[in-house]
Amino acid sequence: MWRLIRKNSLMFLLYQGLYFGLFFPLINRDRLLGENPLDLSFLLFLNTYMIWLILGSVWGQEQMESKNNGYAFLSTLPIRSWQIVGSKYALVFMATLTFVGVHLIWYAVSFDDPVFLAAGRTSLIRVASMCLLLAGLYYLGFFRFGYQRFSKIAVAIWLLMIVIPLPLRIILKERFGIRSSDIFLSLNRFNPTLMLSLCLLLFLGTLGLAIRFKENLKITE
Amino acid sequence: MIHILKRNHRIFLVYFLFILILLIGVRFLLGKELNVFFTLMSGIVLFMYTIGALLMSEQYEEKHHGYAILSALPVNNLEITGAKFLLPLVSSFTLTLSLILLFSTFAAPAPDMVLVRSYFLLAASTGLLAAGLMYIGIFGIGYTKFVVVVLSLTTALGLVPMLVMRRNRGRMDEVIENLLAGIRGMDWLVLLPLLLLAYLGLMLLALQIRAHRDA
Amino acid sequence: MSHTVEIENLTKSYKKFRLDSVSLELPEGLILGLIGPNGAGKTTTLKILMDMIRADSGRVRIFGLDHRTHTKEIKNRVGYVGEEPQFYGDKSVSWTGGWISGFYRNWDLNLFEKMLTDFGISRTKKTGQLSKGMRVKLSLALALSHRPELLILDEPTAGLDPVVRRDVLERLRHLSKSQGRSVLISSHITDDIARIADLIVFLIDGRVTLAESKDGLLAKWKRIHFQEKALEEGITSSLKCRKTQVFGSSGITDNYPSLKQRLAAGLDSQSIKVENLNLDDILIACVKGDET
Repeated sequence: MWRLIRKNSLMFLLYQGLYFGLFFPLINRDRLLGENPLDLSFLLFLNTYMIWLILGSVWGQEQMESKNNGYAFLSTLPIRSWQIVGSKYALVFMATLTFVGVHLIWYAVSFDDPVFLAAGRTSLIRVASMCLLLAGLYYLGFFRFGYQRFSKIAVAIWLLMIVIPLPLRIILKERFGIRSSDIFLSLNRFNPTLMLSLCLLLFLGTLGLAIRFKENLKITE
Repeated sequence: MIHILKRNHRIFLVYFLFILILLIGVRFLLGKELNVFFTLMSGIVLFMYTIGALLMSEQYEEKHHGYAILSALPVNNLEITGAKFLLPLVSSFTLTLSLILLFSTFAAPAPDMVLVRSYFLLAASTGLLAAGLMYIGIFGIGYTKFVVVVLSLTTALGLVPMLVMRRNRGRMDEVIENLLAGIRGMDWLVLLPLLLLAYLGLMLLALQIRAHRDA
Repeated sequence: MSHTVEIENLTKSYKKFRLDSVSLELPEGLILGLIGPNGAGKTTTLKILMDMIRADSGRVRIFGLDHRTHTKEIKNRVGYVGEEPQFYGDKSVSWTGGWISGFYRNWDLNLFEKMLTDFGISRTKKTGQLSKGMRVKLSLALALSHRPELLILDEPTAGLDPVVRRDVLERLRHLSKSQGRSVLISSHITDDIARIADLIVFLIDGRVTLAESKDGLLAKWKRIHFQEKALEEGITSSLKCRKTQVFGSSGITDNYPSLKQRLAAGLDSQSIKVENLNLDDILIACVKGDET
């Protein structure tokens, strides 16, 4: 499985390399020079960037598999489906862990304010949880529908995700009397460790399902 | 050219209808007052429509070696490139017009409506120029490499607005106000021909790149 | 005789391969077989003709027209079957036919339908679900349905079963002989080329090493078996692929007609025997050269 992970790691290395090699120093330069101290909202925004880094890597990687008929080639080798799917999930997990790990070290080294630190850590764990869940769902889609079909669906889902919050807010408020800010606050109060555990469980669940899809459908796209 | 359009139009049409139905649906949930979030969101969707449909259309070509198929048929580069550039142009502006019509059902002061129209035209124009640049990239290095490059570039560029926001901390209201005034003041009678000219320039560049690239 | 295809000093360089000053001519109504080992430049040459690849230098004229400036006109009169036929795999056979027909001036729907029936291709099947042989057949049907004056075929028989292969070759011969169409066909299956070609061009390592009529080639290239000292030294040293075995020696000549007189005595005394060669033997001799 290590060989598979190594084969798939290029895109992840590229994006993480861009982030940690280019922007991380840039952001820290400002901080070290004291020109523009980091504020919490910026820090939280930076954390959400992890989702783009991971999902972008997944998409780029799957495009390369599709172009090179990677799954068809792998199916001729003495490798089990769980190894192929497992290596993908393992890489997402490792990439997420790297992002979280480097940021946690950064927080510990750079910030003294305990409130700032706690908020940063909580947000990091929440974003990492979401990231794992989304990547798991992405792979589930790829193995269920194949790259070509699922990427079309994914674009539609992203468009939907931009549009849907507004009508959802209206419906919740007008029909059920629930304010969206209340939902956001209750989500924010949700224990981050519990959220991580739940998302990890779902991540593993999607892994199991993806292996089944790969086994049953033998998608070679 | 019509046969090439016939091959590629479907994904543009499907996304077009999907977005339009979705936005009309949302519109009817809203009251008579112009909704800022809905406006902002519609512009983003309009921009993403061109990019998303183009990427999916080119992904299909890549998967099925579409350009290799076309290169064996009696059709020249101008027709292929022209058809490719025509689709985003027509579909994006049709969606823009549809949105302008949809938003005209809101009751809002005239300056706000001018801002909405200008914002949609700006979103469509930006999407269109991005589409032109994307074709140049795809013709130059192929779809897969382009996706890798564009994702990396977006990764890099994505942080720029964040840095700008940091630099303008405390002055964001002023920045946004200036931005809105700028959009409202755009003279589209001048800008639209310029946009078309720029798009045509990108098409000619893409044509040159295709002419020097093996199928 | 006018030429359907004229190629002059065609050059194309890649990192590890160079198509080096390739020149050839295909007279109207004849079949030219382009033979060469894998990676010799056959596909590159044919793709340059189709303007799918840009040559670095050289001149190509098809029907007397420059292939770059009259691409559309030329492609309207050419049928092309690529090495690996490409289709939109999610579309049906009939959709593909209908879509492609729109690009051609002289599309003959009845002919296309007839060929689908002859080849046993289901109209409703998606092209992505066709077997390799069926893909080649569909590609041939598409290439022939606009009644092209020139057919450019890149390894068209690869992947076909013997029955269909023979059928395809017969169709090509019929098109050339009774309808006067020109055919440029590449293959490394030399039997196929031997069956139908009038002219043979050997392309080895990006160079044309031999260009001759098939009959002339087979008449010139012979294997000579001889007993020791039965051959003049000059002749022995000119032979390619020389071998010495217990029962005597042998070698290949590419100029048998001019040696015939000097071999007459040996032939009479049966100390020399002459064996006909097939195109495979000649290709191997060309590739190996003087290697013994």
